[in-house]
Amino acid sequence: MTEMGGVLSEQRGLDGKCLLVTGGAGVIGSAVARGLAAAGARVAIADMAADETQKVAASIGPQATGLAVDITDEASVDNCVATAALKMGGLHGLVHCDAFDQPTKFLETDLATWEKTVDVNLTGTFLCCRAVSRHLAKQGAGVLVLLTSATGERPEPGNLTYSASAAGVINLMWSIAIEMAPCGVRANAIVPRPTETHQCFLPQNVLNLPGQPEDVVNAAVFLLSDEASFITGMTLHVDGGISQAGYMVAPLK
Amino acid sequence: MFNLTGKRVVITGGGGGMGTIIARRFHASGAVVIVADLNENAARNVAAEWGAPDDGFMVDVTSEASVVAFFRRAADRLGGLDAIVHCPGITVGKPFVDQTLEDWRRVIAINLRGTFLCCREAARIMCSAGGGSIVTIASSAAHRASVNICSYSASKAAVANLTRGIALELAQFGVRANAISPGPTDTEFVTRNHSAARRAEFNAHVPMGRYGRPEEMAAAAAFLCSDAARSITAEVLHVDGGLVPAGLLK
Repeated sequence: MTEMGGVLSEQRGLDGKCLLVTGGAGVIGSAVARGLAAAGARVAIADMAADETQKVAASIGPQATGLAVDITDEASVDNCVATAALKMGGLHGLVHCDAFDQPTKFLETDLATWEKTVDVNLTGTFLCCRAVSRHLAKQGAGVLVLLTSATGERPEPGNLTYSASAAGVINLMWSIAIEMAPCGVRANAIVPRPTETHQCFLPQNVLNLPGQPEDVVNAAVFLLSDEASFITGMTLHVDGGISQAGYMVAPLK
Repeated sequence: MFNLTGKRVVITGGGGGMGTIIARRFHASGAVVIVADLNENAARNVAAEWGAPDDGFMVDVTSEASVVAFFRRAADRLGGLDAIVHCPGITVGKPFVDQTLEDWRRVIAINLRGTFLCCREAARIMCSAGGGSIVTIASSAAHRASVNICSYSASKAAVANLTRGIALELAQFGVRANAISPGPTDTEFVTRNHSAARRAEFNAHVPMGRYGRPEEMAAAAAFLCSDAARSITAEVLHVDGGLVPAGLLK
């Protein structure tokens, strides 16, 4: 395991925590799982394909477990969460990294694409958060971290389906933060750097650094830890300032 | 949790309140800290906690001459500058129609002009040195309508916007700038001055049902100045128990 930034070295800020990572077989999800484990947590890695998650788990070590889940299926989600809690000997939080993204222009978007996008991105998030939160509420503590997208704040042209679902996820996160606070549960979101396919409007003067998964990992570890004990309802942008760049990037000449 | 070993940091407004807690946290995390405050004795006393009273300085953040001179001395003493956490801020609690021009000017001078001057001087050092981290303190009041603190709210909204502008302009020099927006926070001043009724009202609006602790703001500042936050800039980090997404401030 590599040391990533200042967060995961020295003090293991997630020692003793048991955390579920959905979408854990993906590029970001598996990096998150690795990072949480490096910070001292036990991790359950869940995704569509059990063998993929088990591969990731095996590469991390005995503190990791691989599980299969279909996040659009209520029973599958509830079962996955229960199994994760059982196998880890507890459950203290969720990092939700699953998403479906198929850009299509508005007038050309068919209903099936719309429904699948909403189903995976919004309903899937709802189901995972609800199942985990039910568990967390019983013990009066826990943290949810949702990976979302800047397109949820300002839509991406030619990708209104994904953008709308991302906006829904952010709003859902606010509601969860508000409703679950009395139960001792915090909820926050992370906006990563856009992937290659979405780099349409990159202003010149934002931080141009490689290493996208590490930035998400560091943010997730921070938000899950006690260092973020008063942070809830926050959308944390780790995208070099891109989403904050607005429309004025240089003085008019 | 955040390794700030060797980072050279200025904490303005470090002589009391949130600034002192932040200075202590940065020192504990391994940073070399200069504590600056309008009250020189207070600044020196904080730095004396770790045996370095000469790392406490006086600065009047409303005075360009004072700020320029201070940063020159600070950079000299530290051999450079890696981060600044700028904490000074005041409020005036009066209905809008009763706020005087003097009230307005004072709040804007300390909260906004002070932020501008200190960030500018810090940035001038950091840009020519290849990078750094600027952290300002805005407020939950910057983001929602509030009552009886119009000059404070406006100044803090301006601080948040200014911080974003700084971030975008200085990204090319490797300098990051972020604001922290606390909700009601239990500094000594607040603990002394907020009545039970006022506390109850705030608690009713904060989803987490309590005030923040200054240590929680310090943790956020330490995170933002650490390498773990290297891709975070132009951000407003809300450390408010969910207050901003939760609705209207009273």
